[in-house]
Amino acid sequence: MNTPLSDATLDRVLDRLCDVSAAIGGTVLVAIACVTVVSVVGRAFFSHPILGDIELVQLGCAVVVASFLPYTQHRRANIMVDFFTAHASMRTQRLMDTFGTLLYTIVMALILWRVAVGGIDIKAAGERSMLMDIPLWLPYTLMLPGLALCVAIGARQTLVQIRTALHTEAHHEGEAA
Amino acid sequence: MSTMSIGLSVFALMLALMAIRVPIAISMFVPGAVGYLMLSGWHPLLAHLKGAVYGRVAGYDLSVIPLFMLMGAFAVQGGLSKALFDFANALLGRFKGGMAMAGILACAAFGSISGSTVATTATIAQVAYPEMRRIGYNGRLATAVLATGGTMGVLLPPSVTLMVYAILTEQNITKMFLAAYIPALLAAVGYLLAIAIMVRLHPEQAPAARAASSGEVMQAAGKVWPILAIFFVVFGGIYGGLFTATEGSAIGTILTFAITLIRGDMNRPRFVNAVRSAAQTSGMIFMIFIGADMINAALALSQLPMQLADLVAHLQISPVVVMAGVMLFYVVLGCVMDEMSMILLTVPTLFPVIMGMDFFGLGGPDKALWFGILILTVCEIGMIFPPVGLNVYIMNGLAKDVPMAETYKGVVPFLITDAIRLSLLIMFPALTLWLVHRLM
Repeated sequence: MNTPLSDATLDRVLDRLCDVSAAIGGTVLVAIACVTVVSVVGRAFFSHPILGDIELVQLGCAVVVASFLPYTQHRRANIMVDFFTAHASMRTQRLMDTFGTLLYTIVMALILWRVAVGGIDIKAAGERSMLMDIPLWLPYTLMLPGLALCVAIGARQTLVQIRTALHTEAHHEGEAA
Repeated sequence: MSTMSIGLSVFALMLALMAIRVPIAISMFVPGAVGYLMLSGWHPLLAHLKGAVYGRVAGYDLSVIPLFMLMGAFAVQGGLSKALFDFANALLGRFKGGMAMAGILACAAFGSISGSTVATTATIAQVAYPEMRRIGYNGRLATAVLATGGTMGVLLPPSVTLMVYAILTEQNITKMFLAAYIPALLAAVGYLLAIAIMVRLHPEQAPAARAASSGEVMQAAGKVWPILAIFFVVFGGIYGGLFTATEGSAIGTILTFAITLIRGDMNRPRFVNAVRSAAQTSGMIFMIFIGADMINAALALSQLPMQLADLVAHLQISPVVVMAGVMLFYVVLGCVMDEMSMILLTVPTLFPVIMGMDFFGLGGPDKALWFGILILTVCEIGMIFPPVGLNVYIMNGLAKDVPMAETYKGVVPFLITDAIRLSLLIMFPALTLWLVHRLM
């Protein structure tokens, strides 16, 4: 049985990790922007662009996206349709949301697993980018922390939702008795 | 089960999951994965997933989305909207309903540097709404104007929805951007006319006009230069062929940050807020991308899109009727889904259908641009169309004293101008294509 204290700590750690992940993604995004600007300025004024800036942007973009995903789930900003259930009871809505979060967690776990395997395969094949000769397993690997955090945050949210549901259920029964 | 019926079941399962509040991205991914599994087996599915997610998110063209989101977030945090609204109001205040017209113009201008419709509506409304109410606009007109003005963000570059369509159909993003300007201009003209007519029919909805002195106009003009500078550098460079859309978005991001920093409008908390809002929105968009990719891979295996294209091509219906039907379908779908998901879900299926038909003898790329603008126009309409108009919801959140039903009544005249514009755009593809042909 978890004590309330360890729960709060876990939530704080996960919150913090999602923030950090968004910050890392933001940093990579700003870095992509800077590389591109330097390349454009170099091309325009010194006819000397950064060779392979396109590759950096491409690989960087994958890292940015993977780092942003957990923050989105943390803020519960993955949109859904609430049109059909607007008049359903709070309890039904919560049940559905729990199911949705559970599905999210399973999907992200599947993606995490497959991207990890994909990275391993690419490392074995020794694939590298054309111009800058960057090993392609690198962006795969850099996506993993973000994806793993998605699974963690999804699992945590699902658990909390189930616990809340059970708690309110017990509460209602207590009232009825 | 035949491949066709698996394809249809995938679609049905998706709708069922969406109906029970499962996030849209997941509602697309799960049926997609199940369908893929049934059509080709466990191993092909696992092999597909190894590379598919990376392949989807590692893209040079794709990076315009987070970059333009960040640029827009800097503009929002840097308080550039107030300067815009003040300037537009100084120009238009002399007309009856002038401040409402200024709201439309400010939305158009802000939408021209922000990729997010939601951010455009919210930012301009935060500045314009209290001001409109203070000088005596009634709630119905004020909320309707700002909710409607924000919809122009769907069309105006660097609209995310527009970029998503271009990436999905592999169109040149620069051409796609150019195609949007005349339709957006028509939208603005239509809205301004609607306001002018409404305040004449119902003079009590708007206060009397108040002309600004030339000094006031000059003073307000002095504050809008950053937005003009960002717009001309970024889009001038893109359209002038100096750099690509991705390069433009990178330059715009750095430039917007630098300008807000120099003006003293950027600090650490605002910077963090900007990055977070870009992270949240980009994360949401890419999640839908990943889900839509999975379901579209399954639908492609089921050959549903091909069959549909075949079926429609063999029906003896005039293409314009088909197009009108597609537009109607989008309006209905837009009632329950958001615009981005709608495009990611339907375009891979409907695009081949449209491309297989003859419209006014248009060539392939022209047809793709034209169809894109038409879909986006319907998406704009969907943002204020009952029962679920996203912009009306946002306005309702900002203006709690006005019931949503009032806003829906207020947008009716604007919906009429939108319907007229959509018909014009369908009948005269030149409206969309003229600027592209002129400049590219």
